[in-house]
Amino acid sequence: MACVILAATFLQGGCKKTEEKEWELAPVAIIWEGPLMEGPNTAQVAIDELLQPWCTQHQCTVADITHITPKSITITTTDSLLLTSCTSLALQAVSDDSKMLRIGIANPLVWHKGRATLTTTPDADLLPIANGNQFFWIMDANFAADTEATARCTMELLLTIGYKK
Amino acid sequence: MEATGTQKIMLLVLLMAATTVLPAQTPDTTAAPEEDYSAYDAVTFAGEGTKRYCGPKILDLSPQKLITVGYEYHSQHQYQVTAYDTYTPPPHTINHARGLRVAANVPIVSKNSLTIQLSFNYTNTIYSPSIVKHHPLLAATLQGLSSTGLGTTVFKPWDERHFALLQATIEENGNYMAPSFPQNLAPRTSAALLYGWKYHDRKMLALGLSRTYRGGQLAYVPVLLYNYTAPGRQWGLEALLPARMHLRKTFNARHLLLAGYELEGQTYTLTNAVPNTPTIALRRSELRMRLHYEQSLSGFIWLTLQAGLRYNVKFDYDTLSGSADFYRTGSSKQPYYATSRVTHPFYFQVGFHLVSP
Amino acid sequence: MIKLIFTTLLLIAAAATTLAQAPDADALLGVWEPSNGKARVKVEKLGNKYFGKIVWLKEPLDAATNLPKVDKNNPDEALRSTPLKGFRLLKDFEYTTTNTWEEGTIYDPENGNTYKCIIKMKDENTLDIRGYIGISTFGRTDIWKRLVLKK
Repeated sequence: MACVILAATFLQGGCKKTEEKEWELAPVAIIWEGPLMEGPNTAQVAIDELLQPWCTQHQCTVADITHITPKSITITTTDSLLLTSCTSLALQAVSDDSKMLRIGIANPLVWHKGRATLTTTPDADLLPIANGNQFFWIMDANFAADTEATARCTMELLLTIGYKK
Repeated sequence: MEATGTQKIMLLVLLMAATTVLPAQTPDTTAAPEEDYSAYDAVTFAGEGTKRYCGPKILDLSPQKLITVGYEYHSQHQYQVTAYDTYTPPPHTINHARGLRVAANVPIVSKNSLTIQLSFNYTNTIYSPSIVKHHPLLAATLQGLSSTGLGTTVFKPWDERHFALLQATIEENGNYMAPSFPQNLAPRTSAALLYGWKYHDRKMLALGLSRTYRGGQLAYVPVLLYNYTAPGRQWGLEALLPARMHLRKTFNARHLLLAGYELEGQTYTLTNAVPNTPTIALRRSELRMRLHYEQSLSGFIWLTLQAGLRYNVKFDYDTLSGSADFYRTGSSKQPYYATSRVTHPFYFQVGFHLVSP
Repeated sequence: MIKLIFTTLLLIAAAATTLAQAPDADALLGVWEPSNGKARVKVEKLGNKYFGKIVWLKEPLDAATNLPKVDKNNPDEALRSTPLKGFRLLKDFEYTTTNTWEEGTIYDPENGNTYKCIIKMKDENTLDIRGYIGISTFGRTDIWKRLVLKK
């Protein structure tokens, strides 16, 4: 009986194929509270329990996920401060259990009708970072001059997630 | 004994007090407080300021090797021993020679105000063919030559500009092959003491005196250390005269090319060289003119490739009283036991290194 | 009664220990200057880890281009245009034991190398920053001093 169970488990694991899906995260609001000064300024956003809801929806477990890589990072804003004074943006992720990871950068930052795209780091694997209970998005913005205002934008992140099915 | 009602309330109050002094564990979901970058122009030390010292390196200097494993190969060349007793043997052809180089430099103290390193090195030369008949002197030499040494380097800066540098090694050199180390082999000591100036991040100069065997025999010579990187950081010069000098071309932080020379030499004690003869010492010195390429393979693992001409300066033999060496001055009357002419082979060397941060 | 007193003492000890740990960990926060005086580094807390970024450079412009210095020696070509001002050269430090932060790295923009690193606080205004490769023996210690803004 034990052999049958063992064989079944082996067959189940061995027959799992790796699939990839696009995963559009919920938009994230990023705020740099003023006063903002010339040079780099940092905003951080805490994200809780990122993977579990996706796994539940796709009927798999967190252990089935093989990789999570960034596909596109889009920043949208109507904030005139960001549109006129921000010269570069860099997105990182950090968690307690993993090293800080660069996800994308835009330097120089180019806006087109209130939208800008960050160049993603193609081999950045978010799985070790997102695997824990909580991680943080860290967005660095370089401003050209001092200002008392607060800057806001929304980040839309499209990921590629690989998982065994 | 069960707590009374009053005691229970007391405990609850204490628990609540303990909770309030614990820091709140709320994740930060807003922007971090912003900083005034321009204000960092006008700062002062919170406590005592730190004294600044110059470092032992300049920008783009070829990296120091912490651990080295290398192999070298020498092409065909000839030995012609002359003035050997009353018999002058015919020229002997060496088809090729090869050698192993192993070295380690371990930082013992590594801080701004003092750097002390301990070093170990082993090099050998294996000749092919190694067996020579009817020629005991050459036979003893071509058994193979090895050099094993321990050393130390001390870099002591006094401030941002002035420093002292001490290097000292003690080596046992002879016709042996590791791991068989002969007993009673006389150690040879070399040392150099320099005082220098670091002008800026791209230039340093030092002057001093050395006791050295690079010429094949004991000598006391002045030394000049000069390391320089041009403002564009493409070219540089690394010199420790008269021992070596290289012009440096820096492609980037991970690739560089050196062209120049190094004078290498030692005195080797030949055991069982000639029967009924006092200790024979081989005085060997060669000028290696070369191109030397260095590249980072991965992180701090570097590859070096070197190719050039090995110009033999000295390959002569002395007799020693016991194992003690002597300083051959210009007025020294002791003749060489034998002298040699050696042709000049091409050589190449490949090495793998762990380099210093 | 004895049980209650004992429990009370335990609670007080636990609260005192917790109070003692948290401020020690954040003692690293602030602005520091390496011994060569070429840069000033601000240590901040991101998530639950400590990071240090360059906030001031003694020579902010590249002599070759006359533009703000960038991370031109980074082994990743895609990152070579990152400005050095604002660059995080201390990353991922965790408070491990008394006055010690470990598990982090330090980056040298001069050569693009990243080293393992241990930070030890000698006193409230002095840090021993030891960068090394492989084992701590193959490394170098630098002394950083705390800075405050002039009034």
